[in-house]
Amino acid sequence: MQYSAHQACAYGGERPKWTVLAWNHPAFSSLSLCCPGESDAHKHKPWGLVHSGSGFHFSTSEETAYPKGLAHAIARVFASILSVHGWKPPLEQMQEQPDVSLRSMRAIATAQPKASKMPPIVREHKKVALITGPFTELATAPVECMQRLKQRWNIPSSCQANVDCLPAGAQLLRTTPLRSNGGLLEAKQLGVGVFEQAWGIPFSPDEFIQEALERGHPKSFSRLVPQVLQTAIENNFGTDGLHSLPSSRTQWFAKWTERAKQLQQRDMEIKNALPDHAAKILEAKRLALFKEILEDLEYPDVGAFDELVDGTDLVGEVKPFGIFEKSLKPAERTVQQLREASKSERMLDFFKCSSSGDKEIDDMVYSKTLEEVEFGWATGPLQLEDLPGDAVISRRFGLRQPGKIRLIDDLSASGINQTVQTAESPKPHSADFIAAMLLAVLKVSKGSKLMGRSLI
Amino acid sequence: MSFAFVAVYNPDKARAEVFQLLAAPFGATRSVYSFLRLSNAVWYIGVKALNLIWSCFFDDYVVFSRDEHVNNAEQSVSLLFKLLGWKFAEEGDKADTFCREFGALGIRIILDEADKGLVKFTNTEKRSTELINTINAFLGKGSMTTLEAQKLRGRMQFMDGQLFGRLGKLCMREVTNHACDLKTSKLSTRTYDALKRFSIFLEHAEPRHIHLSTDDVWHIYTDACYEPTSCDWKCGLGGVLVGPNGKQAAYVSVALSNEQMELLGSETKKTIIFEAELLALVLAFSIWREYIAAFSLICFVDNNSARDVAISGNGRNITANCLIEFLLKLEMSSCTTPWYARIPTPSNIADEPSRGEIQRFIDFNVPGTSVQDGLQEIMLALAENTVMRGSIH
Repeated sequence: MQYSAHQACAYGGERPKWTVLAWNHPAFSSLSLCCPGESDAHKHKPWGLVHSGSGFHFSTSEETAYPKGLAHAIARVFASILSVHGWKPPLEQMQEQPDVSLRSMRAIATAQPKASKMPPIVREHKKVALITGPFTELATAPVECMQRLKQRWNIPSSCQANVDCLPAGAQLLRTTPLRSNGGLLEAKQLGVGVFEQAWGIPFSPDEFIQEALERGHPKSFSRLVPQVLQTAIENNFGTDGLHSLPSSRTQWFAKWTERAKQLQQRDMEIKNALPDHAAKILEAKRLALFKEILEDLEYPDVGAFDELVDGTDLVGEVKPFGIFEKSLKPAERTVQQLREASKSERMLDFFKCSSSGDKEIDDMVYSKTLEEVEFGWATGPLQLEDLPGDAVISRRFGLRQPGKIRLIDDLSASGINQTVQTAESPKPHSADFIAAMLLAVLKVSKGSKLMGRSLI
Repeated sequence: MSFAFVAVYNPDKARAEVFQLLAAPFGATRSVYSFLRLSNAVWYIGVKALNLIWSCFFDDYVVFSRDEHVNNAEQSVSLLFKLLGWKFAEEGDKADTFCREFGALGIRIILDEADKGLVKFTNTEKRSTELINTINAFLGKGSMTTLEAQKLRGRMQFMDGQLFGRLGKLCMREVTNHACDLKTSKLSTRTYDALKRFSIFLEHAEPRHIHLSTDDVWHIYTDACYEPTSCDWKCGLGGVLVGPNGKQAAYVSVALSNEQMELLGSETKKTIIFEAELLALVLAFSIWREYIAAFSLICFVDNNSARDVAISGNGRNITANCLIEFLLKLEMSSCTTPWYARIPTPSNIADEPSRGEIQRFIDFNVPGTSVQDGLQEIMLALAENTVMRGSIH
């Protein structure tokens, strides 16, 4: 721990009260301003007893809260440390480039997120004007911090700025001391500290409308259609598309059907190296071909192939695939913690597993499980004493859905899902995606008739 | 493999048995990822290599094609799955053929006017009627057990996946809160309101039209002022409608009467600026709904609280809740997906008309919209709401 001292009045307090802060990051050493000395612009309230309507109190009790200026200064230090570690401040306004972050995807497809979670469509200020000069001069600004000028203000001549005056509506954002290496930066002739004032200059109503038009709508459907799909759509309706598309498809199939034959041997080798159950599950799949096609198309996630072959880990960290939006969801417990849980906890769901009360569901769940055994997707029934020492059991139950009963393995109740840490969040294509895709089609289809179908 | 064990109830022996799963279990977080990873890869191959116009929702692929290519698209999809060795329903119930109108993800997609630049989406009516009846039964009873709430939430979620817009999600959040509240099954005012909204939502949800101009953006700028000490313009509302070309299409400028201010709570509250700002927004949306129906809309408001309640759909007080309900119905019936955004006062073109200053609109020949009927409609809803609340308490 290190320490630095400052006086409250240097940060907008009313008395020169000393405070010592303890810190463990050197950036906080900047919080060490002392009183600039009493003058017309800087006056102190007296110490001692204070008379007020309700009696007397000690002046020190008025100095217990940090002045706003100090709070701002502390926040700025945190921001400077965080930005060194890669933190980016919130965006000033919506990006012009199509933004494919998960949050904006959600914004398009579902509800608008809270205002604090999305940047505004048009930024708050057209520009920020900076004025530097002695504190006494800057303090003549007719408004407090965060307030707006009621009428235009001519900037004092002793101050430097890139504008001559500030228009009505300009908002005072901050007044902060400028520093050189050794301490407070001083104006040469005056021997007083130099401060910087930031003012937000607003857009005029007409400028704002123009700016908002250029930004577009955050839910604009066109933002939902990935470039690769947009290109495909255009290829369907291009001048040449009518004739060239079917023949290019035929060529593609011819090429890869041929390649599939050549890769038969390779597929055998892959499958022979797999455990029996995995080889059986993947029997029909053309694994080597799948991988080569993905590589040929430069698909960013060729790892999808490895996972198909090597199987899926039910626990632990999921490495980013590079195809879905980044969104870290940390694990709630570690795999180690799950393994080390007491045996009764790991077996709990076995003992909790009882009849659903619905004979049809019970029968269906059990017979479907036996069917899975037959297909080689499962083994059992097993004896409890044959299970590995750290086995965790999840409960399987049936859920009645329109026209069928679906088997669910409750890996959440048994704590397995809680060990999963994900770096990306997949977004399957919802009804809004289909709408966006169709709009993209309408824009280029030039009166063509369309048909569609669903396949499951 | 220590984590792939499941307990299955054996009905013949009346006890649980343990099986080890060798394929990814349904219900594992991790399985969802691997599944979507694979289906996305297949989707990508179809798009990039074959130029298929398709989407993929888990294992539900939806394919579109121009008439001339229908057979080719059909064969291409089927060949692609065969080539990769993927299973694919070619026969039986699930196998469909290309049509002008078909169901997918629980909605119906109607393409018969696609050549004229119009596609329609509708919900299946039977299911929504059933759900409306269920919800109304709970509303009548005034209570709902945790189990009932969970079941209802499942049905709402299923329905919401097929509906556009945001109201469904807002309502489901309340039903979830109710399900989590183990202390009482009595419906709170919030849950009651949310359920009522969901049933209104189902009733009002219009077939959604996607047309060439769907992406055209309209803007509504609104503002309000409240100066209770002023003599003739105490509480004013202003609004400006801006079209996709940036042209100002219409404006409104109106001062509320004392009775109207009372309905916003001027008698009991120190300020009604929040209510007035919200009213300005709802009023502008309402009187210009014909212009903006089925387009993209951004509403610029310079009161952050008004913006926030418009986004959350939760009004914080009785008056605001009533206005929000009105707003949500407008969203549904106009098939408009508005975005609520902040505008700083000095940049707001609606600032002047909210204070009765309309010279610039006269100078530029921007037509003023008459508001009295529209205002009356909203005020009536507020008055009814006040009377109803009064009779409850």
